[in-house]
Amino acid sequence: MKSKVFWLTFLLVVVLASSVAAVEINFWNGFTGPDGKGMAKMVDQFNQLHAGKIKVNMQVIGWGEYYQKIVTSIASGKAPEVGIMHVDRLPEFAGKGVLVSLNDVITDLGWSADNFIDAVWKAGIYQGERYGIPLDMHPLALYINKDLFREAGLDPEDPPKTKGEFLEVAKTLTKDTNGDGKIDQWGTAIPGSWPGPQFIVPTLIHQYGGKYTNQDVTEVTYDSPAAIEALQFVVDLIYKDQVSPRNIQQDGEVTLFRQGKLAMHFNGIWMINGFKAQEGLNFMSYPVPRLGNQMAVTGGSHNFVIFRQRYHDQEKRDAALKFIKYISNNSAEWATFGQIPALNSVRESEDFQRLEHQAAIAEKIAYLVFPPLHPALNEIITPLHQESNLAILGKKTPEEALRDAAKRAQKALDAYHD
Amino acid sequence: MKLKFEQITPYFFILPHLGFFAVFLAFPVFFGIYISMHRWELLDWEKPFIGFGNFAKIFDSTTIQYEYFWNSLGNTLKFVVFSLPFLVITGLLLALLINQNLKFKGLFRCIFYTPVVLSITSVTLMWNWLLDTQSGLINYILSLGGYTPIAWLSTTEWAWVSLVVVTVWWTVGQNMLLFLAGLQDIAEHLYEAAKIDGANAWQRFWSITLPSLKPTTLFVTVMTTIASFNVFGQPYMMTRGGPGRDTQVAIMYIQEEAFSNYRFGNAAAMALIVSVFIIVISIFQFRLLSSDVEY
Repeated sequence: MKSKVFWLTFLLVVVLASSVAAVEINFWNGFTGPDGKGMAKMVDQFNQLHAGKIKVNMQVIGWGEYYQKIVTSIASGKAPEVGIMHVDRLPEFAGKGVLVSLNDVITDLGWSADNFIDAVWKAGIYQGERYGIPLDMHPLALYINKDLFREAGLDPEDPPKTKGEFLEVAKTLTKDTNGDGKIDQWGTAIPGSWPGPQFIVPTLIHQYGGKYTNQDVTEVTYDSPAAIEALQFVVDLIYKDQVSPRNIQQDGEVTLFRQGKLAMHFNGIWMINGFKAQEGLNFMSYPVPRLGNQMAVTGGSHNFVIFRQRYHDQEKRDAALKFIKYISNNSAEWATFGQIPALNSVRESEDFQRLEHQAAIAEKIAYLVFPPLHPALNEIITPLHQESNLAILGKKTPEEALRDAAKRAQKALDAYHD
Repeated sequence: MKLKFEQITPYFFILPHLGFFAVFLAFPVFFGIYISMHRWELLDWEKPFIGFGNFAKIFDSTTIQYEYFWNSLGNTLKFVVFSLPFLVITGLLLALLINQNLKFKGLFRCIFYTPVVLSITSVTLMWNWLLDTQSGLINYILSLGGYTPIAWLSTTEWAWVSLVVVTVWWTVGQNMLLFLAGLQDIAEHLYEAAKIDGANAWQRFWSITLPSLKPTTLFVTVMTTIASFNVFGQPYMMTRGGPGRDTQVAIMYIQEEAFSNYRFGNAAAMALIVSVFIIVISIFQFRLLSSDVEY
């Protein structure tokens, strides 16, 4: 009896001691898909490696609510130590002074501009200070249905790379397969909703030489002649070339691709795992072809950030840095769950090159373009999304749509500077 | 002394509710008014008092808020006008139907009520599949009949139709249940007397059922109006406010203004304006429908 009490007490002391000794840090992200499971696995590995010293508590909140929750947690002084943020959201938060500058941190980690592609390295810097440490990049990609390519005598290993090739292939693959006089297999698909206006249209605008804004983000420029020409090309795919169905609703084109009725599908790299799980779908992933006069592809990037706490705790800060470094160095493993690692070395590693889909898309990653770095980003790009939607649905001409959008965005931008 | 205690007792009974009411309803209302008078950005330290500045912005036709907000409030009003008659009348018809002495009465009650307990996410997910332009079941059936497929969610007119249909499907069970309770409260002897007088089914419905249901109808109409004013999930998940901003409703824009543009002060002011609309319309409905309602 006595020994039982002794051992119980002993156990209790050990448990308490170990829990007191470990530095706990909270890590929030929005990885709700397979990428979240991968991240959880890596967090577990890190915790095991640092058992008794550091304990990372990961909390996953869907991206939809993630930023709302981050904002309220910061306002109430309960922000996590480490978080993941899309690179284009950094200025909103950095501008309010709630993020810790990571200039020294990235030097500590031994990383410089040489370790990353230019776009992602620069995007983490706002007004001369670094706030984000890039973890991955997720560009728009081209998914092709291999079976449909082969049926038409096309080589699925050699996807279209130029505008001419793309149009030709799209026309060949748009057809009526059951002879009822209606097209039921499509060369491509341009949706009026996500990710059409958010990714496809801006990619084309940049390929045609347009830009979201000027360099200083004081003037909205997505109604430039180049941008109008780009949107015209997108709209023509639907109404003139007729290689895309009309009036696609939310995720309608994803369904078509899953059903094998769509040959060339534009969507984010995050769709790979979902498509792999689709029975009977034989697909391959490629970079977006060059449909304008230069190569460009829009996308996002997940960055590590450290939130400013009410009370500074060096121990926690150090633990957080250790954690960020560990995950970054092992991000090839995480890439298997969907994304392209930001670090060049990881991207060039054999582990990553073995992932055929991700590695293929990563070939053109150097042409990645991010939305403008500005705290009022939402108000700058939302009009573009809403008006491109109208143009894709055929309710406005590309010129009208982009003029109206730019006018509204400019108004919001001017009001922000006042 | 004893008398005094008895006088206080009732207050103890309402205390728990009063507590919840104060914390979760009264406080947020006043706090919302407080926020609407400040330039309130959640991440800013300073939240200066600006009086009616936020309201002025909303009523100033040169601002971006004016353009977005009144468009979205207009869309909300459209939704209320389109959905209210269907929600009330369909609710009443279903209640009349299952109030009959039918076989499987219980089963039908269950079936009609079930959608009410579903979450908006499941409802919209399912309907998105049904309504898909290219591969949805509804367009498939249309094509079998030789009709051209309809862009249910990507043309403005059909988007409204779809939103109303989905809303009716999802929430009409609630109204049906309220009407059913009202129907069962009507004294049977009224119908017997009418029958003896030779009234037919329609006359009995018109002269007995409808007048007796007046309090229920008032309640259902007011509650449905308020619920329709607060519409958010259906357009948010099904049309994302599109085409363009044609189905962006007030709550969607208020949410965007607060959580994407971080202007809580503006958003609070807009929310107050929406509630003024709700209050005015509710008062109007009470006036119209309660002239001879006895409680």
